[in-house]
Amino acid sequence: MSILVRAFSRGVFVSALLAGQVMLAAEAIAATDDYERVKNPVAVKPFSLADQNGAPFNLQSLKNHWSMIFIGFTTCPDVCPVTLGNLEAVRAEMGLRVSPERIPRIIFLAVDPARDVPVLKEYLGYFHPQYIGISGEVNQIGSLINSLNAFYRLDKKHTDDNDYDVLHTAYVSLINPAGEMVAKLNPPFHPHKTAMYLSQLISGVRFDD
Amino acid sequence: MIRITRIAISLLLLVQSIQLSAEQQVDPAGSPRPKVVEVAEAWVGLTPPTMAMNAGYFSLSNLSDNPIELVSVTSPAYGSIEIHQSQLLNGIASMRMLPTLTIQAHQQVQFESGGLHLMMRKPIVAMSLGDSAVVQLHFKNGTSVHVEMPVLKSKSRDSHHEQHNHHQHH
Repeated sequence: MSILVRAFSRGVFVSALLAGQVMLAAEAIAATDDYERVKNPVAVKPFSLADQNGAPFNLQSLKNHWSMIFIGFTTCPDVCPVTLGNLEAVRAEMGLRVSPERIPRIIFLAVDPARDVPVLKEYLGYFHPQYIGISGEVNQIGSLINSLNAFYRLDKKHTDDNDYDVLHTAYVSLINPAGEMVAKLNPPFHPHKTAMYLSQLISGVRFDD
Repeated sequence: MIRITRIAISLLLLVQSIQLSAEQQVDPAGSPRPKVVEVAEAWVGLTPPTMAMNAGYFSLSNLSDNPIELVSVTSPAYGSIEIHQSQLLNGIASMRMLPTLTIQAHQQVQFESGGLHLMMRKPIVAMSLGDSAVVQLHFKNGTSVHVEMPVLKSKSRDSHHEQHNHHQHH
């Protein structure tokens, strides 16, 4: 196959490649608007949080890696464990398509520090030791949330409410190695489709939507 | 092979226990009455020991000619259990508590990840794989149903979803 391709003139080779990309992109887009490419990538503004081991995690920590930032909280028994499981399945499937250093890390932005920070390490370790969980001061969480054009609210019914729900943006933000938000991934994060989308985007062969 | 047989046997036992519990529907006076409710595919999510809550799932069928209303859920294994619904509105994920849940005649309601679930708070003991939680569903008409909910890994949720989607496509 590669010998045949090399036999083509450069022009024919490029159009063959483009046709292949169109087909791949069409497969990923078909019957779904689960993925939104950010038209003008937004640079994440400086922030200062800590990971589950207490190490600083800031804008510099986002550089030189692809990352998927998932907004959540540790007292979420229904959706969060499934989302974390699906994102891990996405990473596993991407392993077939892109080199390991370009597979996005999973970053769990825990927005309920009072309940999240004490248990974050054990919570994430239970699902997968490679997950990165970050949290910290409310204003620093707010800064990162703003950069992601996202939203969250602790839905306390009264000041002593300890069983409150947390409302939060459901999409996962894709951050490129320059620290810019380049895409939003919406639920349900189907592992195969999401892996296809991300592999094409990260390999640079995907057309803008 | 032995392992597979063991899994098959435990699945059989599980199915039998659910059927038995569903058969044990009695009215407040204790006399038998026709089966009104059928519960299937019951399970509880495996969660980290630090998490003071689990989510529980099953399918609930109303076999009768009248609507039935699930008014409360209790368990010796949990401090409190509520009926919750995860929802996604304008891109915002949230949860709401439902005071009761009505199932129309001959209808089935599916509790599943991302939708209806039992919010099971304050487990009395940490639940691990191989454990089951016994819960009791209480209906407005006086019917109560015992359900054994085995603890399953979160991974099972994915395969459940895959299967579910698979069925929808065909």
